[in-house]
Amino acid sequence: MFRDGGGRVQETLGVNVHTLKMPATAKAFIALMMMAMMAILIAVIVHFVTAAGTAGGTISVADAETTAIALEAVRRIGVATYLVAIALGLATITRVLRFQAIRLRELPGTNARA
Amino acid sequence: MATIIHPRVRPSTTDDYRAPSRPRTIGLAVAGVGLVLATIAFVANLAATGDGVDRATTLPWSFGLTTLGFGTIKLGIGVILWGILIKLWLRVDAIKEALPRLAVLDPAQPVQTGTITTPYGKATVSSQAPSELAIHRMAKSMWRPMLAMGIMAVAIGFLTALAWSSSGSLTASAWTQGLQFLGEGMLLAGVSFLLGTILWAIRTGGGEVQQGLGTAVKTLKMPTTAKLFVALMMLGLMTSVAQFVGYLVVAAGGVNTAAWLTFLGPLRELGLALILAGITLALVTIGNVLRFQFDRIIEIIKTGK
Repeated sequence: MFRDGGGRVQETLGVNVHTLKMPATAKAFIALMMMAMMAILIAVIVHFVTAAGTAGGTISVADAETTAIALEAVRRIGVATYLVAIALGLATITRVLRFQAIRLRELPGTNARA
Repeated sequence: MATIIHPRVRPSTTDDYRAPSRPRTIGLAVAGVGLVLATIAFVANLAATGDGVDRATTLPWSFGLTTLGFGTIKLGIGVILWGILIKLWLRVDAIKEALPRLAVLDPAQPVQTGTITTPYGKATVSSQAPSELAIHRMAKSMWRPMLAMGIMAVAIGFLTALAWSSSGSLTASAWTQGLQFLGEGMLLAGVSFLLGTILWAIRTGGGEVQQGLGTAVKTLKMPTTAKLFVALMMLGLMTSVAQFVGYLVVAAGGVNTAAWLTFLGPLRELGLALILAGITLALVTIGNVLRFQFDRIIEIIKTGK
């Protein structure tokens, strides 16, 4: 939205459109978010498989408890990774805002109407 | 030091718009510490699946440490959001400086006040910048104490988790869960109030820019998403307080512990889920408002009014 809005403002002014390339924090945000989602989904699937196995008698209650403890750990690291990804996404927004403040002050000097 | 204790909501006159954001760096570092804490707890849980580790001792403190890790990451998110708030105002200052030189303005043009319909919802048209709403005043004053109280509650909850780990007592267990999830709720409420402060900054900054130009001041009326955000956040925070009171009742004894603990678990998660849903709506509102503001800037550049 910042990217789109900033581009449209510069386009309206008829100047060269400067757009920030995707920062490393944005790439890390996407990667971490995908990793966290996969970790949590895998934990959910294994939970259901374990529950089905326990109900069917193929997995003992003791083994199910052990699996639950391990899956709890996976879920927690998944949530922590998700939260860190959100922090990286917000850090990207901070950088974009700084870029836009700099570019806005440059615009009058590059606009023929100024 | 004064800035850390009393973080301001607007940049000072000496803030350099070109400089990288210090709150961003500090926030990412704090979030990194939180991830480390959560990773230690992750390893502890995996170790607890083995035969050589006493689960009754390990699982309580790993629970406490994980929640402390989550709380620390959320505190880092709050610090980064504060950095966004400062950078937003620096961007407003840049717009105030650049826009008069980019648009052909006609200050003599009379302003037709009233209400208009925009693609982003109803907006008011006035000649003066809008005054802040009560909800904005509350958001600006509440985000700091909420973040501070939240992380303190989570940290104290970790200490009770250590007591729970060594004693195995129900009282320590109840205090840990109640305190830590109350703290998590307060941290998310602090993040919500910060998002409300960001919405105030966007609204106030937009009004100041338009008033300074002498054009009609167009301000979006509070969207439904913003009203729902406030409602969900309040409901979630009250639910977090209710679950804390519930755990205090369990700690005091005299109730059916199994039954109470059965519903308190989902209740504490519901409290956090309600606040998170509110945060999602706040972000939707911010997106909507920013799109409206970009359109308004383009309108001023094209028409001068």
